[in-house]
Amino acid sequence: MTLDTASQPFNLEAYYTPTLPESGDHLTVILAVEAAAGDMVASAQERVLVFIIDKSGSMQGRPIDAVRDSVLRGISMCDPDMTIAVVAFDETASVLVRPQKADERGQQEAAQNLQWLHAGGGTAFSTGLDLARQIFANYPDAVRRAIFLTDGVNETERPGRFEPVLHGCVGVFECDCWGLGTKWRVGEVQEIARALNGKASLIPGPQEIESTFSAAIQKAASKAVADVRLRLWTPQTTQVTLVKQMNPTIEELTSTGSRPNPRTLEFGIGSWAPGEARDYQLDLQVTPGSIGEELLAVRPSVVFRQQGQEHEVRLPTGRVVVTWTTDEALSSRINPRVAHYTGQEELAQAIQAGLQARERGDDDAATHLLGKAVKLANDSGNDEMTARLKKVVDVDDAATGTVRLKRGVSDAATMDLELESTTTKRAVRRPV
Amino acid sequence: MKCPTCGAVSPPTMRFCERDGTRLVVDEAYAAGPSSTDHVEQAPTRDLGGVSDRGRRHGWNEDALSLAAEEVGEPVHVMVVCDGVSQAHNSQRAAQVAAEATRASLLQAARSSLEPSLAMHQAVQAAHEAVCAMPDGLDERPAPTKSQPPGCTLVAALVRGGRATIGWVGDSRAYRLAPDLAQLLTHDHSWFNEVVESGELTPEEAAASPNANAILQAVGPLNFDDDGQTPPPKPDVVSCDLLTGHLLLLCSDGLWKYAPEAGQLAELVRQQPRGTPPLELSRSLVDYANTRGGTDNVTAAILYRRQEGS
Repeated sequence: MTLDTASQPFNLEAYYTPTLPESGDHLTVILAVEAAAGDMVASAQERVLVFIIDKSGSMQGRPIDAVRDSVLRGISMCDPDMTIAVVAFDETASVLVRPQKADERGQQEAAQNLQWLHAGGGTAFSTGLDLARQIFANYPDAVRRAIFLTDGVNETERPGRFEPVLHGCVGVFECDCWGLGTKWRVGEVQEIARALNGKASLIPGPQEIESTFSAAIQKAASKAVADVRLRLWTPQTTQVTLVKQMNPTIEELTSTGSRPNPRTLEFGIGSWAPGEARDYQLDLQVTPGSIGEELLAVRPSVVFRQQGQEHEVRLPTGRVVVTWTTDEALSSRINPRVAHYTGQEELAQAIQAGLQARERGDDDAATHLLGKAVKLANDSGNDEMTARLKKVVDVDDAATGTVRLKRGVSDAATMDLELESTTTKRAVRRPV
Repeated sequence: MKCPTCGAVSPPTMRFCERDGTRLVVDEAYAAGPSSTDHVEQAPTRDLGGVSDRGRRHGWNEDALSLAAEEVGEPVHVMVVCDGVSQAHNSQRAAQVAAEATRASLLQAARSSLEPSLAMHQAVQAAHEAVCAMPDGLDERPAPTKSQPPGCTLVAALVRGGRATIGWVGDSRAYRLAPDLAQLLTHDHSWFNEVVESGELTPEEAAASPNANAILQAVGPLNFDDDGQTPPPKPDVVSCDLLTGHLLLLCSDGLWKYAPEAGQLAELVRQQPRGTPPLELSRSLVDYANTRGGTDNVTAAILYRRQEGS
């Protein structure tokens, strides 16, 4: 069923250059999806939040005490009708707080049971993820989110176990991940967050756990619609070559697509909160038409289920249409929004390559790449990224990207920059 | 009444021998012949088995045994041994009720992957509540002269994969045994341990005391440090790895009083042919206690950690 425009819980807009040069066969579209503010949908959806806590030996002392207090404080902040559970893992995983409402009774039981959260043992991420998956599987219609916290390397994992377990979690729940301190590996934690529609971040020390969890719980509580899908219908003349989320972070989606029928591709884009906005990039390969010919390139829509019924929200115009022109002034114009995200992606790549160069001791390349990143961040007004870069380089001139590598940079600053490199500044919403 | 141990004759109203304290079993239930609980054997799998026996001197079996094995993603084994406090009424039933409640609670916890130490505490709490909720007069062999409320010891193990979590109240014990290992995992909640550890008495002095066998905690309304209330017992809980080839033995004092050192129990196990199933090993341990006198009910339960897939 298609909702009428007035009550639509989502708004879609497409930004692209509608004119292709003669024989032009490539098109990039930025699709902006925004959830309606206020009550997106008539009835509130059940929400389930599971804490997946690393209780390995390295968490001993302050960290595990801070986690215990923070989880408890977090649960007391939840809506009483939210379902919460706590899973703790070392090389095995166990449930500390069974799934239950976060009401007074649930909070009491959580307070009692969390006393049993003690540090010890090794670290095998898959055990915690798999147990959380089993819990979430009981709530197929709910908004299902997890908070994953570790402080170390996934070193006690049985060979060959992690990947299938993570794969099994895809679509079952979403997971924001945190690494505490600097003894964990960005890549390992990011892999979980990326697969499970979440974000990986760094918590510098135990004292910051509580504020981090508070924000994460608020985020989980705000979600109103679960299991939203981005649907792309294309005619035979179009191939979808790339789908990426570009804001708030750059996330590759192409490989996650499913094809319910030969002309339709679908991508899980998780749960949404009222007012939430995300931008997607679609790269399309089209069969070139003759000059002046109009072609329907793609019909994007957002699909979700509500009370057993599927709803589909489309572009106001319904579709993305291109035409071919000999007017080079028209066809060479790059849509500003497309250009903005091209720049943001370049920025991310420059940071990642720059950090890698620094890591392997290639200071010249690192200086060049991180200088380029400073310039790109400056050009796009991405002040947060500029601030992060300044913890790693001394900036002589941001406009030209003239920088010097800082010495004695903390691991935390480097890890934070790496983690946040894919966080983009949102394209400005003004009519183009 | 003639004492079966020393032959001394006591007045007919006495329930214990005036000379050596042996129970003088006289009620009509005893005369009714063997009971279904006199000798109990359980073996849920080839790697888990146990025996609970009346022994040679007691009129009935106040020990209880409850074993279970289940596949919850991986093999889960639950073992419970309880020993009814003999001076209390309904103790036979208390031990059975406690063992069953513990087993059920641990299995339920395992199904929801509850943290094992937490699961053990909840299980002991469940056992305590179940015994407190027992109506009077449930003993298969009622003993109206017993005046104390019902109570029992408890030792339980929740074994998941290679990890064993042991909880206990009182003086029933758990041991980890292997060809090169003999380890007592529990520490009796006993008067003996308390006075010896505090330095109040030497082990020899304590052993000579009439309190030598007294326990300081029990499951059920029978409480030792309490003035009329029935606070739940405070179990101790330990966890350990159970490696391939290890045996986990749970037993009542009816066994370990005859082999107080872990090494002695290990030796008894070693005397059996390699590969003897846990049920038969348990039988051999119970037989050992009975041939040495069998003055108390005796219960042994054994889990063998086999190489996975073999």
